[in-house]
Amino acid sequence: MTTRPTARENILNKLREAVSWPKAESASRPKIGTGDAGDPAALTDIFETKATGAAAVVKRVGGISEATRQIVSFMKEDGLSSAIISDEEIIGKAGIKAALEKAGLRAITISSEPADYKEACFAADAGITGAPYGIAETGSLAMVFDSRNPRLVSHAPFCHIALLMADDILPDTETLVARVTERRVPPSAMALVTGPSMTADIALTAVRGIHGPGKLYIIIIG
Amino acid sequence: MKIEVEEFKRKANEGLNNAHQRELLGRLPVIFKALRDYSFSTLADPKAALERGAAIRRESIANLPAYLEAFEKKAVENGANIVWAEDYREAREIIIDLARKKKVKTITKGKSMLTEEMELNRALGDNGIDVFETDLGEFIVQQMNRTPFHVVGPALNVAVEEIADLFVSVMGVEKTLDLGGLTMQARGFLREKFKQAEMGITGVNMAVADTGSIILVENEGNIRFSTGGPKTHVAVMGIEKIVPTMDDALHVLRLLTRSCTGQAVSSYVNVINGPKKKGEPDGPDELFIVIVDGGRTKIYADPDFRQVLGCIKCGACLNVCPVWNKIGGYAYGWVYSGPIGSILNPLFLGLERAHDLYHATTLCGACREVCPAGIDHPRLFLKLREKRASGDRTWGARRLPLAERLTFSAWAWGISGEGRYRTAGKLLRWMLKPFVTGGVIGKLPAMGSGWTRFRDLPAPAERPFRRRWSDGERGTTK
Repeated sequence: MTTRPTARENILNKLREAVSWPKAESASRPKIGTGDAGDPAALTDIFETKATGAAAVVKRVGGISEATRQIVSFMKEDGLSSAIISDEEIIGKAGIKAALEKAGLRAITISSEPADYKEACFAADAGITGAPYGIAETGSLAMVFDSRNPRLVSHAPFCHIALLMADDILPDTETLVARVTERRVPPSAMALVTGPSMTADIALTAVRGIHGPGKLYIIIIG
Repeated sequence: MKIEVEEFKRKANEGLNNAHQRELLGRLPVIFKALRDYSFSTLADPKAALERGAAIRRESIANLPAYLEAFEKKAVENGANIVWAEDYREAREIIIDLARKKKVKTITKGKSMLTEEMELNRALGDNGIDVFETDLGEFIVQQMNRTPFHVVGPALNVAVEEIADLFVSVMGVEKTLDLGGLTMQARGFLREKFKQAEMGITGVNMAVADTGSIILVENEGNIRFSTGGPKTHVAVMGIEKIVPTMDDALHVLRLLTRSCTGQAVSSYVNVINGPKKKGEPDGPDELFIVIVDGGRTKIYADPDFRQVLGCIKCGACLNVCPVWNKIGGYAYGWVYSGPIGSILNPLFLGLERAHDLYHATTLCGACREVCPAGIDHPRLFLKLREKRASGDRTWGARRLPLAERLTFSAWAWGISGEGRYRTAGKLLRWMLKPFVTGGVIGKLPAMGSGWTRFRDLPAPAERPFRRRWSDGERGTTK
């Protein structure tokens, strides 16, 4: 599919030919307001408050094995029996697959079912992933998608359980973007996730879980 | 979508007489204001934040052609395909062609006002392609074949009972009036479409010139599915959606979600740089970004109206508008409603056709006050009125009818000479006398009846002010 040869030039020329506006002074950059939360502990506190305010369930744990136990107990409490698991380092380290199976739950890794990957995401009760970054300003998870943490694992199941390292909580989205663009190649896509999926389209009443996860669990490690 | 901008008066009356809608509109502004006020209060300096938003949008529009080229270059580097379309028809044909070539049967769609403008769904349907709006409100509007009531909540006026019946007939489900139940019915129905869809079509909230990224804002997660599941993602954007840098985009984002729904950020913000990379199990194989003019260069060419292209479609101006909050969204007769609709609908459809819209404004400026893009709506309403009164070929405004022009010329002549003014005053007092009862004029015949239909006119004084002044009757008040 290509543009009709003249369409692009016609549009740009019409814009270029228009009388230009007088130069305006650009406005100053206002402070946004995560406060002076320089130290990581304060950032974690702000993150927890904001994420909880957006209806995510946040649990802080001391170490990775505690995180794994927490995942199992979230699954059991909600009566969930299967989970699809992303392929990041932290997920491997946490030994989630083994822990779930030991608890009698079904664990599907994204590499184990490449042919039925999409179907597996839609069928699973929960999606378990890492979250590369958290954003304190809004309590958001920054999901930076790649082959090991693809899009549907955290989105298709009704419940998303995310592991976040406290050190990866950044003050705001500007810092996040700077961090992500340090990489040589930008990711194909990124989603900032703040609380569960929500709608208020019927009768102006908020209902969770319309398309994406109706439940979001965030486990902060450290 | 039927264009009904000419029907403004009739449809405004319908809105006023709809009890359910009146009840809703009584509550709506209170809720929106509380949410908006709270969300802005979490910014360190809300006023400076709004000013910066306005400056960013102004800068984006001022240098639009350069930013569009920069965006295109970056987006292509990132692996996206950029396609340009001069008008709605060309844009529709590009998308239909692509869908045919890819043998697409099912499309899931994110809400996009531009695709409403160009009636994309009807065109796809005519070509035998199933397209499903997946934003819940937009899904309801699509299935009911209506125009959006509100730019952010297109179906927020539709009664629960009506939605329940609609779901029964569209999905074949058991009727429920439970909101959670209805939501789950929609989830179940559209999930199957997300699984099947070979193509996802979305709009674009912002296109970032310095990175080539597109940003899509949502709460439901339907856009994450439409952009992450199907093999092809088509993003349709108006030329005005550009912002210069990612930092600018992040700032506008803060204002957008706060102005829309009073959220510091929406549930999901999608930043899309290109198609999936090697080894990724999901994401689109191909990303097409269709950049559409569709009447926008014409608005751009008029320095009086150009600023309206800064609009980020947040809906804040609707929520504070004393007119929209009485008559509702349908009266505006096309894609956009409220103050922004009273500017955009006439500019897209013609000043003559849609003239009732920009006359039915109070010029109170509430819209301007909340606008995160710095649009001066009242000034634009007056410009529209002025261009219509004096006639304007570019915008399809005929001159006013001869009788009306003559009336105003006579008025101008009458009040610009002392003798003429005095004589006219005398004549008018004499003419009005028979209609005075109890110190007021309650009912006038013919042309005057419009004035007295809803209010009384005070009776003219026995002795006019000028006479009393010259008689030395001053300095005493009782």
